[in-house]
Amino acid sequence: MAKIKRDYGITLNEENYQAIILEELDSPPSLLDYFREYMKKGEITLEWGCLMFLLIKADIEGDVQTVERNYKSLKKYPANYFIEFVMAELELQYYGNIFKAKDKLFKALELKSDDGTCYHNLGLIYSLLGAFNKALEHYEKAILYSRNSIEPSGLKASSLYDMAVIKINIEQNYSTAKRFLKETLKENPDYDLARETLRKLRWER
Amino acid sequence: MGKIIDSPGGDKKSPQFIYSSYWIPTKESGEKTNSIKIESSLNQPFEELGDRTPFEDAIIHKNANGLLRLFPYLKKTPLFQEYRRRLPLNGDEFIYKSVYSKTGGVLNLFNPEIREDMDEELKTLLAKYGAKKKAIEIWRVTPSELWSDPTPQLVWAGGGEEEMRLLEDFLTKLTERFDGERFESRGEMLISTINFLRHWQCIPNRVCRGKRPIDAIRKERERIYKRKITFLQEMGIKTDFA
Repeated sequence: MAKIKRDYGITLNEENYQAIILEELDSPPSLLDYFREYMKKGEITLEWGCLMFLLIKADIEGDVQTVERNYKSLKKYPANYFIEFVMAELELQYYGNIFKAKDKLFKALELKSDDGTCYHNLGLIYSLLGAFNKALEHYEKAILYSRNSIEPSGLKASSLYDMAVIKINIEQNYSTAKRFLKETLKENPDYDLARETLRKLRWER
Repeated sequence: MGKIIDSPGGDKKSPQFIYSSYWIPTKESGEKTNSIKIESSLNQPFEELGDRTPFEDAIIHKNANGLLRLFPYLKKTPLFQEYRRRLPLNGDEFIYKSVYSKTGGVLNLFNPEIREDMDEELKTLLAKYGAKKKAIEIWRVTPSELWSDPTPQLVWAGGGEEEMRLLEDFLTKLTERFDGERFESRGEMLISTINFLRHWQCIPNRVCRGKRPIDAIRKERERIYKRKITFLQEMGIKTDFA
């Protein structure tokens, strides 16, 4: 608590810690609802609030050690979707541990099965693993659940674009790729890469 | 990031030691590069072995002498133990678990070591069928995300000459693209190199006569698989992979 007060000028107490966590999450309504339900179960404490606060801040600041330390400390509380998601990102983006990241994302989906970003990240992971059919399946689910993400349109656009890339590179299915690219641009007209790829495909059938 | 690779040559007419230098992102992938070359060289027929592969020769003679005839200089190098370890000198080679000791070839260059406890497909099939034999029969022909989509039986078979040449081609292009590049984290480095690999595997390549590496690698492994199975049948050896 002293660290939170010193570094962030916030005093966490029994009365305010749940509201502060919701504020700090700066997330789509579906994640806030998840946290409200999670906190309602009454199995958390002020200590949980402090650890979660520090994990959220460390995630934003890219402080790997603090994320890992707080993740471990939070494991004694009921399983939480968000901390699994954060650790999955860290495993993938920082350590490059693809299989560990995949396991954590599946764990996260067990706890919150309607998370579009989780599905999108699994799509990326399956692409890295060369399992392109599974990647497509997960991008489709990312689109299906995109409304639950911070930027539904952005998530939809990048999932559609990634699907188009698979259709081009793996299946040489240019007509479907073009359709996906056009849908990408409908979601995000400023998606330059999609526009450029579509231009390159103009003669392909 | 390592740059030095010592590799045994794959020219069946005149076995030789080739020294090459590549940019490779991690120590593990550097070591795997050597293992892939060793694995592939054991699948190549050599005149000196009566057109048998070192794999077949080791089964026929139950020793590694054929390999030493091919590469006499190997005996004094640390690579010899790695070669020996990869020869089928005991029955372990023929059970399904042996797939977890295989490299998976160039498509899996950056993958970590794969363990049986990571194999969700096998776990699911074992739970579904109960009978191990039935589960393994299905598992061995099911494309696996653990090895970039090839089936376990093709991973077990290993690569050959063409995959070795493709590996060299990939490493050359990888080095051209990434040598000197700076990365913020190991994750960023691996994601970039794996994406590069996934792109490379889909682009038609003159090394495999205009085919896509992914298709050429599968085709060659299928040939190697068939040759291995035919040979094992001739020798009266049973395997989980047939």
